[in-house]
Amino acid sequence: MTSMNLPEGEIQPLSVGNVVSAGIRLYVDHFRPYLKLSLIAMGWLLLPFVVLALLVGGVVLANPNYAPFGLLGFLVFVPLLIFGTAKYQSGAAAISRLAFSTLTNQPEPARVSSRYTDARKWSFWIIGFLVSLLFSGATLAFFFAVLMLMGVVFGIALAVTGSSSPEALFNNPWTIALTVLVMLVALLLFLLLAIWLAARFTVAELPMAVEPQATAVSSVGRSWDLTQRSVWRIVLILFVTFLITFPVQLVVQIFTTVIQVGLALVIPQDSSGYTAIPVLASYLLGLASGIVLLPLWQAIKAVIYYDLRSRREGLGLELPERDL
Amino acid sequence: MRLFKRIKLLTPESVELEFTLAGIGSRALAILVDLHVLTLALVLFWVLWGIFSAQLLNYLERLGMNYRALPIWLLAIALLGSFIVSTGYFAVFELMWQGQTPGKRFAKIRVIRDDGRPIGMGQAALRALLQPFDYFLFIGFFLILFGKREKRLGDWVAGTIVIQEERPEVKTRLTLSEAAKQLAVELPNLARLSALQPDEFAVVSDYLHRRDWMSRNGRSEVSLKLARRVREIVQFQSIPEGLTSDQFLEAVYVAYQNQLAA
Repeated sequence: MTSMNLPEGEIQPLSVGNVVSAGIRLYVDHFRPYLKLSLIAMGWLLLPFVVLALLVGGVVLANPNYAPFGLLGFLVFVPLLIFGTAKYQSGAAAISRLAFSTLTNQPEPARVSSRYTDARKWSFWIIGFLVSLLFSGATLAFFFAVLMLMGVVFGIALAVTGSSSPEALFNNPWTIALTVLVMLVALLLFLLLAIWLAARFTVAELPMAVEPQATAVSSVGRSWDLTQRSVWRIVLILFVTFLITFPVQLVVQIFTTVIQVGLALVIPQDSSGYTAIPVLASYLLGLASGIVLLPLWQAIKAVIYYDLRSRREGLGLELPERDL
Repeated sequence: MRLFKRIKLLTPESVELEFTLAGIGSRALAILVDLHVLTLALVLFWVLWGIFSAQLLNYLERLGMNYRALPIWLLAIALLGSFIVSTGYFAVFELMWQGQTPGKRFAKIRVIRDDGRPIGMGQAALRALLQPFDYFLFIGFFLILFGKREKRLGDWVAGTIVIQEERPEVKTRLTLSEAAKQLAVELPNLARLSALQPDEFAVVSDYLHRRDWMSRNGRSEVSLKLARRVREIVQFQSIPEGLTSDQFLEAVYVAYQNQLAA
C-alpha cells in the first residue's frame, strides 16, 4: 500500500486538540481583519446602550421633570437595541465565514464576507432569538419538571408517614436533607443539560453564514443535525478553548491596568473623575476582553462546523480535477 | 493550507524524519486531563496522609509521649510529598511511556528529543521542574503559540519537542457487500483500473472507511459523486442491473487492491 502523505487535517477529521489549534492558528494568522470585524460588531452592540446613557444623562441633567421622557427613551432604545444586536451577530458571523473560507482554500476579502452577512443580518437576528427561545423553553420545562417531581415526592411522603399536618413534615430533618439533595442533583443535571444544548446549537449561525440556500430556521436545524453524534467532543473543544481564554484575559487585564494607572496619575485625586476610574477600568476590561475573544470563538466555531461537515457530509472528500 | 507545522529532524544516524508539531490545542487538552488526574492523585495522597497522621498522633497520645513538634513535621512532609507527586507525575510518566503522560496519551501527542530520539531521565526531569515557570504569567503558553518549534521553557532547556502521534491507523474492517465482491472479480476485464491514480484510490478508501459516520443524505451524495467520477476514470461502460454507487466503489476498492497485490 502506498503511504498516503495527506496533509494533516485537510481531509481527515480533526481531533479535539487539532480543532482548537486550528482555530487559534486561524485567529493568529488573520489577527488584524478578525479584530477589526470584532471591533465593529461590538461597537454596534454597545451603541444602543451608549445612546441610552447619553439620553438619560442629558435629560436628567436638563429637566427635573423627566418622567414623560421615559417613554421616548424606551421608543428609541428598543429598536436601536434590536438593530444593534442584528449588526453584532452579522459581524460575528462574518468572522466565521472568513475563517471557513480560509479552511476550504477559497479565501475571500473581509469586505465581501461582511457584506454577505450584513445582507442577511435579520436572519442572524432570528437565529439568535430562536436559540435563546429554545434555551429558555428548555430551562422552564426543566424547572417545571423538577417542581412536579418534588410535589409528587412530597405527596408520597405525606401519604407514607400518614401525618395530616404538612408543618410536621417540613420540620422533619429527613425532608430537609432530601430536599437539599434533590436540589443539588437538579442543579447538576441542569448544568449538564445547558452544556449539552449549548453544544447542539454551537454552529447555529454557520450554515446561514456559509450556505447560500440556508434560512434562519433551517440553519438552526442544521446545527442540530450536524452535531448529532459529536456532542461531548464539542463540549471538550469548547472547554479547552475556554481554558485558552485565560492567558488572553491576563494580557488584556495587564493593558487595562496600565491604562488605569496612567489615568490615576493624570486625573486630580479629589475630583469626581478620579472615583470613576476603577468603574471605568472594569468596564474597559470587560469590553476589551470581549472584543479580543470574539474572533477566537467565531474561528473555533468555524473549524467545528468544517470538521462536522467533513465527518457527516464528506466535505473535501472529492477526486481532484484532471484531464482524462 | 498549513494549519499545522511540520518539521524535519535529522537523527544521529542521518535519517530524516518528518513530524507534525502538537499544536497549542492538543497540549492544552493534555494539560487539562493531566491536571484532573493529578488533582485526584493529590487528594488521595492528602487523605491517606491525613489518616496516617491522625493514627500516629493517636498512638503517641496513648503512649503519653510529648509530640508537640510532630504536627509541623507531618505538614512539612505532606507539602514535600505534594511537590514530589506533582513534579514526579509528569517526569515519571514521560519517562515510562516514551514521552507521554495520561493527558498526552488522550490528546495523542508525544514528547521527543530534538533529534528524534525518545526522551531520557534528564529531559523528563528538566521539563517537569520548569513547569512552574511556564505557568507563571502563562509564559509557556505564549512561547508555544509564537515560538518557531512550539517550545515552552521546559522544551528549550531540555532540548525536546512535542509532536503529534502518527499512529498507523488500525483500519477498521470494511463490510463489503456480496455484489461488490462478485463485481470485483470481473472488474479488471471490464474497466481500466490502472487509470486510477493512488491518491484517487486513497479518496475512495477514505470514503469507505468514513461512510458509517456520515448522515444518510451526505453519504449518498458523496457516494454518487465519487462513483460517477471513478466510472469516468476507469471507463466502466456496462453497469449491471441495480448496482448502487456504494457497491461500485467497494468493488473498485477490492479490485484495485488485488491488482496491487498481484
